[in-house]
This record gives sequence, structure tokens and C-alpha cells, in this order.
Amino acid sequence: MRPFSSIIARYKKEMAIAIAFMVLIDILAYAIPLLIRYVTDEVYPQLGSGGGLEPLFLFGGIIVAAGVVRGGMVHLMIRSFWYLAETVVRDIRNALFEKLQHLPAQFYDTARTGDLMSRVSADVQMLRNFFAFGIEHRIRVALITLTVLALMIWQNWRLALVVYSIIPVILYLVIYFSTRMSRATINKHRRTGDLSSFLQENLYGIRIVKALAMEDRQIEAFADVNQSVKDASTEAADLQARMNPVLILTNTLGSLIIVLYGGWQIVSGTGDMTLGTLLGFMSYLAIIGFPVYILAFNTSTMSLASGATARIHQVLSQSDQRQRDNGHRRDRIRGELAFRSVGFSYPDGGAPVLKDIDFTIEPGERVAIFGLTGSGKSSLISLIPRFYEPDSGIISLDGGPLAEWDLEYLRSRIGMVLQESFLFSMSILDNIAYGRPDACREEIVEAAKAARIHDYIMTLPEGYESTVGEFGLGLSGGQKQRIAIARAILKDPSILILDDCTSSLDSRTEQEIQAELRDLMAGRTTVIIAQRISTLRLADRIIVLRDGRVDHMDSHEALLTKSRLYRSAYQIQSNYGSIGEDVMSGGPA
Amino acid sequence: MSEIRSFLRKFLPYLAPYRRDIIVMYAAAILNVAALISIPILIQRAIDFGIVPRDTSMLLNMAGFVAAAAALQFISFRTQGRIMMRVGNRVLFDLRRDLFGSIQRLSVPFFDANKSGKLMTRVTSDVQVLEELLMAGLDTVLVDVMMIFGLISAMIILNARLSLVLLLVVPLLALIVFVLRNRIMDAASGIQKKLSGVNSYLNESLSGIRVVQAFARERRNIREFQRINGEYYDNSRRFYPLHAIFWQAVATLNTVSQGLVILVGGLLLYRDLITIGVIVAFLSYVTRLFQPMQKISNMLNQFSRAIVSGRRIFEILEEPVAVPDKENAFEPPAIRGEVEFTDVHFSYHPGEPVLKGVSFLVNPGQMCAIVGHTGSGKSTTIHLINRFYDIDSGHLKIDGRDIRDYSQRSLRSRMATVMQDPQIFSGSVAENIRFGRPEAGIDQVRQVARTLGIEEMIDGFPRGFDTEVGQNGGNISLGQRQLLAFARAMLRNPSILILDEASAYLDSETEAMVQKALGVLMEGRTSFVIAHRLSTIRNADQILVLEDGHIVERGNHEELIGAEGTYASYIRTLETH
Repeated sequence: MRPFSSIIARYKKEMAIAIAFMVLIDILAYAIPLLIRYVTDEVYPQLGSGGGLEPLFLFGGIIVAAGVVRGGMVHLMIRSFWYLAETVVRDIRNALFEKLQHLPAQFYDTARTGDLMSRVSADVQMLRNFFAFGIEHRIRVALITLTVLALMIWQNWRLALVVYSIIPVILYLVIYFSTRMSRATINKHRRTGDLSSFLQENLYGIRIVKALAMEDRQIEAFADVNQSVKDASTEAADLQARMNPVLILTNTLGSLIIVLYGGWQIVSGTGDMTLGTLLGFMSYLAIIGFPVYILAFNTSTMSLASGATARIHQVLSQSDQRQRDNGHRRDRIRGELAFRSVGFSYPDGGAPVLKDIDFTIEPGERVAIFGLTGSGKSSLISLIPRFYEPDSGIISLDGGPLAEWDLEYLRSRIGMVLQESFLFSMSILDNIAYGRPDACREEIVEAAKAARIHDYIMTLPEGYESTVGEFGLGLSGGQKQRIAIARAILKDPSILILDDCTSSLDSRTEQEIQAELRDLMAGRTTVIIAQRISTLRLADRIIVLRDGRVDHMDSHEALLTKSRLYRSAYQIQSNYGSIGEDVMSGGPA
Repeated sequence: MSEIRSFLRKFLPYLAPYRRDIIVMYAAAILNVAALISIPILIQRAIDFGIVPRDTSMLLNMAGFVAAAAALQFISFRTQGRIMMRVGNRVLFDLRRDLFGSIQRLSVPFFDANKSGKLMTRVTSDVQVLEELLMAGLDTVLVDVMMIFGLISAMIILNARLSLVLLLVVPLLALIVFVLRNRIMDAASGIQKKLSGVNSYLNESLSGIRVVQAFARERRNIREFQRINGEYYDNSRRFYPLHAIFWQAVATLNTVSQGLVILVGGLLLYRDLITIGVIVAFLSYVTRLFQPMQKISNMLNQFSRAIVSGRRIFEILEEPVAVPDKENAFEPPAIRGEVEFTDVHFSYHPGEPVLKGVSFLVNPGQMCAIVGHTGSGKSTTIHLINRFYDIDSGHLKIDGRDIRDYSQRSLRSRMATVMQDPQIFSGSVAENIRFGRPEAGIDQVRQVARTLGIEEMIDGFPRGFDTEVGQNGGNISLGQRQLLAFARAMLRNPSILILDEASAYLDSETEAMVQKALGVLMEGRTSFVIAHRLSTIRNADQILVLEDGHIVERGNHEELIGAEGTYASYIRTLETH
């Protein structure tokens, strides 16, 4: 729990109050058997022999009153613990989110979204359980066991020792079952996960399964997955079905010991045993029933919480970009970008991806990057908004190294359109305004018009208020790219980066949005990655990237004579030129 | 009520095969309850007849009975639990098997109407709701009811006067367990919704983290997250008092009822109407009523959730097949591959025709390219050859015989399809290639890869043919996915090949490889290609130009150029470009 000591320290008082209530509850719990013992030994025998009813009413009344007070305490304790838990967890969740927003791209290269999600949802939930009832149960298990032992010894040490001799057995059993159970449960979750992925894949590819008439094969394969889920969950359930009877049996054995040994003591008159003491012991046994019952559960709560803490801490302790050296320059950007002998390799220690990159882009110039898959195109452009830092060399903007610029300002002046445009589950309006949330509606509509998506948006029943994204309207690839372009236009960036944003579109759509791209590039320093010659020709100069080096940097015409790679790509595209959709689009390219 | 009946009518047959086990389970459960109830009575007798009169042999006798009852309780409880979870897990296995089987049996129109996410929920979450019912409810139904009646009858038999205390305790307990608890459950599900709101905001911020950072939105998103998180927090602060009240009520009632037993018991003792041992037994009984009541209430909640989930599950199990096979459908040993459409009309939704009288004939071994813009009916045409749908009118014949005469299985096993975005399943490259013919050996897989000219490419993967590819082929490029799909199709050696050419542009090296492999793949087979590449179209024996559900032009490349139509005018634009 050490990483959270600062958060816990903030709520020291609340925690102390909660624990105080808990102790009071338990004190009352021990008092009641004492009262019952007193009534049986002192009050009941007097009842027959002419004594008045007053003591009965007095003590009966005290027990009832104690019940009411105890109830009140239970209420206050639960409230305090649960409030504490929710407050701590809210703070941790906020801290995690804040950290995740600022972590650099290299962190996200290796982390999977599913894994991160489970940290912030499942792991945080484990911590919540720790604060809501983990602490309470752990303290109570120890407190109750020890106090009851002390009380029993005080009343009849011989009987107490005999009764407590079964405690080690119980402890052993609980540990035995709980370790096996947590292993079985993890296994069950894993198998259930396998079943889900199998199913997801089958449903996603159901058309190919049907087209190839592979249904029966899939049913056979599913039977195996299904069988292993059944086996795993049978194992987990069987452990539970074995533990419960064992725990009840030990409790009954406890009663039997008390009756037999305590009864023998009374009958033989040893160790001033009374009937009241014997009944008191029975009630104590019922009280120890709680820690015994809760111990297995508590053990798993605690171990889950400590695993969760370690995983959350791992994220929180990552160094993020805010802590790196960061400049303060916020001048107006002209857009002169210079790479000086830049070398780069990914932080996981692979081979260098970029080697000795050297070029200058003039303000307002449009430069395209061309190369085969794996030549380093995407790595090169991700250095510009400082998603990664180069290993060697310097990238400078308007004559100053990128590190001199304020990172947030720098990024706010760069517009990016990515290969797959990601839209958030919010209205189209908010999606376009994503980079400039303060933009007014007119500006947003203006941007949508410039990206030629306005007319389409107006055909939607809810217009700009239509929700898109995962749970919203399904848009085509071209429509999504247009919204992404509008998003970049609205930002009015000084530098524009287009990361292969047309290759996933069919050629007809690609040709349609070329006009928008041309407008968007006008007057801005632009870096564009592209595969198709038609897109490459939008640029003033083209960089041919080969194995992480700049092979050539020249105009289209010059490259046709100079670069063999470029020329062969041009020929292949002319021969295999993609038409299809274009046949019917009617208009010339 | 009729909902419950219809749920039970469909669900009970799943339990029927385990009838004998369930009977044994309930027998064990009855023994378990009997032993549990008898133990306090035996202890009471040990006190009243052994300890109080100082009769050692009586004490020992009773202790022996307690030990016997404990042993019986242990064995019967263990038996009951063991059978319950075995039967439960078997039933769930059967249910998942049937559900998956019936999903595989359903036809494509069903999958058009039901998104895969929704179907996932049926097989996972809805089955899980039934799992909870089976695991927690199967033995509860009788055991806990018996337990409550057993406890109450035991108290009445022991001392009818003292058991009047129950008139106060039981209704209060029922109020807490059934009324207060249900209110808590309702409130909890509201909180759960808020929490999943927090989680889905988070999920999206993580999936789109590149955009977030590129647009420098971090600070604003952090504020927004804090708002949503705070909203959840405020809601949970309103919820927890309810939870605290519940446990307060349980704790209070527990102790107060003991106090009442002491008081009323004392009064009865004063009149000599009771023994101390009976009072002790009562003290232990009154505190035991809570647990079975809590479990019954729990079961009732689970049952009402199970009815909802069960209805959704049985809906799928009973879903009729939209494209059924005829009885004694024809199973051809082989097909030649002649495909003929005669005045075919088709619509997905009544009143919105997609194909409006399409006729063509493709001879065995011919290649037919289909061109036309989005919505013209290209994809529909190839879906109909796959018989994903049945036509509305006209004739669709394969080898001169109506497509509906064939069994779908045998027909499709003579065909192969490559989709535009080829589905790659998680597993090795070799497994993906043999997806459509799992019995093929590695030699055959390699042979096919060699013929297509991609053996070298695959050998270049980190572990060659054994390289694991992720779901959706995450770690290989679109072009490579497509080449693997070609190999998958080729391995089946189909008579009819259906191909939706990728419209996205690949890098020039891969593009050349795909074009070459495509030529090899189509050789000697009847092929239908939705084409996007000039080179593909040029090689076609027959080009069908579709427009708005009609074939507007047909012929080969030279004929169409000569016809000076839509096709020709485009080719000219392209050449002068």
C-alpha cells in the first residue's frame, strides 16, 4: 500500500473514526454473551425461588438496548469505510487518468488498451474493496480471535485452550482452500476469456465460415473450448462446495467440545465451571464463526488488492512528458522545419529505423514522403510533434530546436490527419471542434464546408448533433476522413501532417478528397505520406525514403529519371492502375 | 406469470437428463437441513438431561448423537454441493453448445440484422446470468424454504409460548430482506451504469490517445474525466447510506431478538413453563433465520433476471433458418461451374429492389468481372451465387440446376470466397491457409503457397508458416492478408471462385505480387471478381457493367471499348491522363 500512503494520509482521520466504530461494535458483541451468562447464572435461578422480575427486565432491557446501539454503530462504520473507499478510489482514478493522458507514445506502443482498461477499472475496484471491507475484515479477524481467546481464558482457561486447539486446523484449511480457489478462479477467467475470443472471431468472420461451409468444424472447435470452460468452472465450484461443509463441521465440533468437556467439568465439579460459563462459550463460538467464515474471502481480497496496487503503481510511476525538459517558446510559427543528421530507433531496442536524415522544408512548402512498407515514413513524421525523441541529431523549427518550444503550444499548432481517423463517441460538432473546443458554431460549419462534408451532415436527421464513434452513426471511411480533415482545418495549423490518410480509401473516394487536401495544404508547411502517385503529385518535392535513409528529395519529374524505386512504382501503377469504382464515377481524375 | 411458465417450459428440458442427480441432491439437502436443525436440539438435551442433573452417561450419549449428526450434516452437505455444481456446469455446457450450434446454423440475413456484439452478449452474459441462477438457486429453492420452516417448527415444538416471539421477528426480517434489499439492488444497478460511463470514457480516451495528444486535448479531457468520476462518486455517496441501513437493521434485529428470547424466556421460566436448555436452543435458532431468507431473496432476484436472459437465449435457439435446405437436397459429387442468372430480382427489404432483372451466363472456367459503383448491386450478385440469400424471382442455376435444389453445404464446399477485407483468424499462418480444408498437410499448404508465388514471403516471417498471426491479422499487412486468403481459397481447389478485390491501394511491391497470384488462382476456374484494377478487368472473359440493379453493358475489354459506352469513355479518360 506504500505508493498510496500520501492518499491514505489525507484521510487519516476518516480511517481512525471508522476503526473506532468497528472496535465499539465488537466490544458490544462480546458484552452480549457476558450479559447472557449473567442472566442464566444469576437472574434465572432467582426467578423460581421467589425473586422479583425486576432484574430480568433490567438485563433483558440492557440486551435489547445494546442491540439498538450496536445497529447504529454498524451503520456508522459501514458508512465511514465505504465513503473512505470511494473517496480514495476517486482520487486514484483521477491520478491514473491524468497520468495516462500525459504518457508518451512509446508507452502506448507496448501497452495494450485492454490491459490499461483493466488497470483503471478492475484494479481500482480491487482497491476499493480493500478500503471498503478488506481493512475492516482483516482487523476484525485478528481482534475478535484474540479478544475471544482472552475472554475465554479469563473465564475458564482449560476449556479455552481445548476450544482454541481447533484454530490451527481451521487456519490450515482456510489457507489450503483459498490458495487453490484463487488459482482455480484465475484459470476459469482465462478459459472464459478464450471462449469469448473464439466466439468473437467466429461471429466477426461468420460470412467466411458460411462461404467455406466450415460450420461443423467450428462447432467441433467450440466444443473443445466449451469443455475446458466447463472443467475449469467445475473445479472452482467444487472447491467452494468442499470448503463450506468443512467450515460448518469445525464449528459443530467446537460446540461438541464445549458441551462435552465443559459439561464434564460441571458434572465433576472441576475448575468452577458453571452452566452460564458454558452458554457463554457457546455464544463466543458463534462470534468466532465470523472471522473463520470471512478469512478465506479476506485472504483473497488482500492478495488481489496487493497485486492491483503493484500494477497501478507501475503506471503511476512512469515518467511522463511533462517531467521532461520542456521549453517555453511560443512565438508565431513560420513553418521552417529542418532535420539535421537525425537518427532514431524505437525504445524497445530494435535496429535503427532512421539513419542520418538531413533535409530542410521551407515555410509553406509541401513535401511528400514515399517509400515501401517499413522504410521509416511513419517514424519520421512522429518525431515532429515529439511523440518520440530522436537518438541523435537535431530537429528544429524556425531555427530553434523542438525542445525549446512549449510542447502543448507546439502540438496545438500542428494539424494531423491519421491513416485511420479516430472519431470519438460525441456529436459531429464536438468531433470537429476537438482541437479547438472554444470554436463557435459558424467556424465549425465553415470547416465542415471546406472539408466538403457539410452537405452530408445536413442530410442527417440530427445534423451536427448526430453522435458518431463506437456507439453512434456508422460512417464510411471517406466520411470519417473528411471529418478528420475538418478537424484539422478548424485548428488552422501552421504545420500540417498527413499520415497516409488516403490509402485505406478506394481510389474514387481518394480522388474526391484530393481537392479538400489541396485546399487544406495551401500556405502551410505540409508533410504528407502517400502511396499513390496521384497523391504524391500534390507535393512540391518528394522524399524517397529507403531503409531509413533519404534516397532522393526532388520533384516528381526529376524523380522519374533519378530514382529507380520511384520509376518502377509509377510503372506498376500505370499498368495495374486501379479503376473499377472510377469507371462509374464518370468524371476525370 | 406466463413468462415464468414459458421460461420453465423451455429451460426444464435442460435439467431433465440429470433428473436422477437432482433427486439425489434434494434427498441429501433434506438430510442436511434435518441434521442442522437437530444439532441445537441435541445440545439442549445434553444440557437439560446431562449437565444439569449431572448425568454423565446421558451427556456422553447426547454428545455421541451430536457427533453423528455433525458427520451426517457434513456428508449430506458435501453431496448436495457436489451434485449441484456438477449438474449446473453440465447444463451450462449444453446450453452454450446448443446456442453456438444454432448460431452456426442460421443464415446470413440473421447476421445482417444482429450485430456480432449483441450475439456475443447472448452467449457470454446471458448464459452467465443463468449460471448464477443454477449455482446459487438450484438447491436454494427447496433447501432454504425447508430450513425456514424447519427452524420455525422446531421452535414451536420446543416451546409454543416462547415461539410467539417469532411473530415479531419474522415479519421484520422479511421486510428487511425482501423490501429493503430490493431497493438496494435497484439503486446499485443505477450506480453500475454510472460506473460503466466512467469506464467507457476512459476506454475511448485510450483508444484515441494519438488524436488526444496530437490535438493537445489532455488538460481538457482530464477535467472532463474528473467531472464524470465525481458524478459517480456523488451518486455512490447517496447509495451507501442505504446499504448501511440494511446491515444496521440486520444487526439490530439479531441482537434484539436474542434479548426478546431472554426476556420472554425468563418470564416463562418464572412460571415454570420452560427449561434453560430450551431458551439456549432458541437463542441459537432466532439468529439463524436471516441467512436462508437472504438466500431466497437473492434467488428470486436471480430468477427474474434469468427469465429476461432466458427469453433472449431461447429466441436464438428458436430462430427459424431464413435460407433453408430442401428436404433430400442434391449433393453433387462435383460441379463443372456453369452459372446462369435469368431475370433475377432481389431485394433485402420489401419495396427496395437491389437487382432488377439481371441475366447472364458464365461458362465453366470463364472469368467474369463485375464493375459498377457502390450500390449498383455488385456485392449482392456474388452473395446470391454463394446463396447467402434466396432470390425473389427469376432463375439462378448452377450446372443447369436450380441453386435451391442443392444442399448449401455441398455447394459451398465446391466454391471458395475471398472477401475484400480478408478475415484472418488467430492461429498460425499455416492454420489460416488450411482453414477451409483442415485435413490438408503442411506439404499441400506449402505447395499452394509455392504455386501462388508467396512461399518465400511466408518463409520470411519470423517463424515461417508457424508464425502466429493475431486476430484480424493485426501483425501483417493488408496485402499479406489478402495473399493468405488467396492461398486459403486455392487449397480448396474450388470449381467456382468468388473474389471481392481490395479497393485500397497497397505498396507497389505487394501490388505486383497480388496481381500475379490472382492470375494463378483464377486459372481454370469459373471466377467472379468485383474488380478495382484495370489489369484484372482486362483479363476477364466477360465484363458485366452494373448500374442501379441492371446490367447496362457486357462483353470483353475490346468489345466494350468498341461499343463506345460508359466503359469506353472512362478508359479513354484514363489513357489521356
